[in-house]
Amino acid sequence: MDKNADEILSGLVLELRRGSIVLCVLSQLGSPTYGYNLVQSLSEKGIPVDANTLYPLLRRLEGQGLLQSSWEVEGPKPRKYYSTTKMGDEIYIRLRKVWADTVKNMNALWEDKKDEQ
Amino acid sequence: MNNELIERYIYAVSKKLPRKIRTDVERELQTLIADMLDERCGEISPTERDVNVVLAELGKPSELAQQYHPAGSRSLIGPDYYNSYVSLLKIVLGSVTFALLMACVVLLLLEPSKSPIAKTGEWIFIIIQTCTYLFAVITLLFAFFERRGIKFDIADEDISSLPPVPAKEEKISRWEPILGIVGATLITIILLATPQLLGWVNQDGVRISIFDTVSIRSMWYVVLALAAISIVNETVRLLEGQRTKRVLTVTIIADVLSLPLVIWLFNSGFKLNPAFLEGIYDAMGTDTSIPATMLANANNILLGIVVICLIAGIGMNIFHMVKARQAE
Repeated sequence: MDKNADEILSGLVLELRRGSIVLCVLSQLGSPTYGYNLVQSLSEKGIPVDANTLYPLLRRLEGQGLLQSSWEVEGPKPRKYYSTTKMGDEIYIRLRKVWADTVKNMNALWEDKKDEQ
Repeated sequence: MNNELIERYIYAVSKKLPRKIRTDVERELQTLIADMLDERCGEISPTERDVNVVLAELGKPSELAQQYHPAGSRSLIGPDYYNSYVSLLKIVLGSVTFALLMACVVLLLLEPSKSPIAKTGEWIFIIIQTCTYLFAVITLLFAFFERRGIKFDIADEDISSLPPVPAKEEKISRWEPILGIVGATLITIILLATPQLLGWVNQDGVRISIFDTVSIRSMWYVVLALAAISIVNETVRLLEGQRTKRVLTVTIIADVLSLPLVIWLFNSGFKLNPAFLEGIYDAMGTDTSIPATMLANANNILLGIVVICLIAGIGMNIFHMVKARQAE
């Protein structure tokens, strides 16, 4: 029973994260950053994300026109730097508003329940 | 450092990727793996174990490659089409198998063979072959729909244009088209394989068939074309499930296409067997009330009946269509 519940929970958590990770990424890419740096900085800030999820995601967002990229070959390792486009910035602001509203409304849901009890 | 293992891993990922992003992803993965190793080992040179741990963290090559594919482009027949695909497969394969089995049983009963087991084996082989062929055609058709994103159900996209719930008389029962498919298959088999079955055995024990068997077989392509038109028409009726404008249109087109084919068939292949006509003369004797000219023209009379039926069908469907348009 417990093992089953844990499995279901981790599946649900994964789904929640999957939806919010785009917002996290957009928030960090105002200035050009490379993939692994983003993995590290997000996990330092308490948002752990696997490289094998983030790298394909960056490419997908670039394909949708939210990010742009350029190769930096001057350093010891060639790196691909990503940053938000103008459209990416606009979407980031709107998505953040949706997130804030959702959090507010959801908090209100728990509060209502507390009052009823 | 075990560079070779890293190269092998990256290659395993990139060969599963679309060609145009391969080089880019390869370069990116190289740097990523180097970064991960740096973080893990710092100044110390990474061992083979370190490489293994880092690659395990990245996951199976196939799963990583899968992440790079846009969602939904990875299936031959996706969820939009799957239900229609399966139900069409079931119905077409089911009814054709049924028709072929019926044909097998009927033929074995009517024309007892010296080796019924071998004959049955032949039929089973034909059934498997036909079903495999139909399966392939239907699968290819749906894969094409999936690739091109062709929508059957246009109304599904726009709720306001959803069709009204059909009145009872507008509904097409599932059995109607299924019987149609079974019938078309059976008639085709009988006409092409054993046209002599349509007839009787006379007093001398000679089988007299209604039609001239050789000339029918020589027109096999017309018979097959007619069967194909009929099966496509019934399939559309089955998928649609009600007498919509689309069903009416397809039926009208099917009838219009069949008309010249039927006339062609009757003029060149579908001759009544002279022996059969003589048989009728004999059976009726000389004091028959049916004029002899009528029997002499039996071929044309038969053609006339079929053509009138087809034209009446076309006319009725056009009438329904006009009525439906007025009702809108």
